[in-house]
Amino acid sequence: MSAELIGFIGIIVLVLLILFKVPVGLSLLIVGFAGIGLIKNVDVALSQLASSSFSTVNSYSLSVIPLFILMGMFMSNTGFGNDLFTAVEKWIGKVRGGLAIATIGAASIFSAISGSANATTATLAKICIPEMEKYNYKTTFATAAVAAGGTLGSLIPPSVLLILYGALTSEPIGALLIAGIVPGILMAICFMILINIQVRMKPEIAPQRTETVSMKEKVYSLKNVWPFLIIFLISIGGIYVGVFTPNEAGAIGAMGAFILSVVTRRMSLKILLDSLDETLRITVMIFFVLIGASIFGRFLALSKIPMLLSDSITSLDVAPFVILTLILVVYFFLGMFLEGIAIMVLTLPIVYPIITDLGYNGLWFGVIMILIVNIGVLTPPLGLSVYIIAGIVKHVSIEQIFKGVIPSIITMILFIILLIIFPEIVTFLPEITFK
Amino acid sequence: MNNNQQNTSLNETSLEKVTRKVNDITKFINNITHKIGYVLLFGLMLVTVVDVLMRFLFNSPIKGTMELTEIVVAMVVFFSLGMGQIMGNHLEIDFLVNKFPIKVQRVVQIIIYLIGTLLLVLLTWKLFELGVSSMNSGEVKGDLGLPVYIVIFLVTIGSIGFTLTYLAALLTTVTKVVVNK
Repeated sequence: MSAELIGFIGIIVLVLLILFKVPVGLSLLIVGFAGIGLIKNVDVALSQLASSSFSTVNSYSLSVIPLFILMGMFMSNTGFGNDLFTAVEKWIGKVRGGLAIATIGAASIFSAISGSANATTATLAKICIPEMEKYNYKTTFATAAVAAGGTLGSLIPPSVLLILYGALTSEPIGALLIAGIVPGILMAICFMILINIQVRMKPEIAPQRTETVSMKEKVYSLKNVWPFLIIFLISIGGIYVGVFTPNEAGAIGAMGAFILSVVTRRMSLKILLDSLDETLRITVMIFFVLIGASIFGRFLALSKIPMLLSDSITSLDVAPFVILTLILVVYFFLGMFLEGIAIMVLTLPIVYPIITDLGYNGLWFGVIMILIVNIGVLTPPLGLSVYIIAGIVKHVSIEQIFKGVIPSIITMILFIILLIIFPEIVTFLPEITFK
Repeated sequence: MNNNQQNTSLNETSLEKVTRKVNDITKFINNITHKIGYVLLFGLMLVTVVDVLMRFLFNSPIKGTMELTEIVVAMVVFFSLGMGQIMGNHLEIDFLVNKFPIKVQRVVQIIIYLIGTLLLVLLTWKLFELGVSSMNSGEVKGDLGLPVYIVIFLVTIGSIGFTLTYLAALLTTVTKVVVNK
């Protein structure tokens, strides 16, 4: 059997294993190990098993993952999300659809500390939806705002998905985090505009609030919020200015969040231990996949499939744009069935070289890809965000929530098209920072 | 006849007993390594912050922070892999398998756990060998001068804990199937 054939069979077996509920990390490990064994021999496969695993975890740059997750855990376990929504709501709650807009605003700030779409969605669903219902917002309108806001968690730094993209493609992690800032903020603004349009068309979905909030109250509401914003500015700002490495930024962010929650008497021993516990469990989930991906990656490289595909696709007589569009359409469908991390480890070893060979910017592609995969958390059959919300808000059916997010999905697609036409939106900030 | 019946029930209880023992040991070991991970992660945060402060304030960063970070990440990951498995944190796609009858699901699971256990045994064994060869070659980590084999052996301990979680899950599922019969 030729190496290429083993490679193709390996990919098919991998997909089957994952569909049969074999953990993604283990599936990669099994196929990678068996594949290397078949192409080379068992001894090579055995020594790769240990050395790849060890070199994946024995890593300076990937320490950024647990540190940023720890920062987010400290912030969400000490009730920061609540303060944030209250503050944003006091400032803009009075405009039309204000609570929904405040939800997006709170989501974008919360994303900036949590790094995960799931954590953002779960936190916001608990806080924002009851508040919006109190003011007689239509429930599906409220759930749609939370679902849309949650997706910002994978774009606005520190995004775990962007870090992972860096780990898998060796694009610089610092530049990737910076590249997520502008698209993240613009995406949030697009969602706000969407809400505004929806409320203008159907005012009854979001009754205008009548009571007024005094300036004093508004300013007072910032009391609990600004220290966290400063922590974010120092840590991500430090990467931007180039004085910290991303993992130093993570450590400083986590430490800042810890000190602040101690000073404000929100930290308890239980919260500290819970935060460490959750952080480690999420961290190993990501690293197990990365360990598997490193061995699977060696196998793919040995099979020469990425080179083969890349060569044959780039020599095709079609415009690069056509190939890009095809790849993005495939990602859209993959996103409906698989989880973002799984999609990245499965496809990037093959797709990334094709994309860069076609002359596209690797940072830009990371942002585009994550946006597309993120649409999948809002669509059936596996819209994770929708399921998280449905688990918290019991009195509305999943179908209705899915229906409610359709306008957000259309907005995301339009936004992706915008980024494809104007790639500078993504690339200008990292370019002025790192060149 | 009577004797025979007693025999099978004895067999079943001994299987259950082994399963329970393995589960207990697995939880015990992984709980310890996971808790050590708490200390290591918090320590990593502190050391990194102190390093940055020393660099800015006194222009004298702590020597060997980079190596220390690598060691801590390696240990933290391997020390908590098992707890992640016990608490069901690892990424799985279950929308297809959930549609199968429960018996088929269990058989599929037994096969997965069996393969997983075997592969992790191999991984643990090879990590141990990597440690031994590193010990013999006297490889040390950069500025710290810490022998690499110590790190690899610690990682191997974590790997043993992780392997045990698969063995425990395998035994538990087998017990379920056998007892159901």
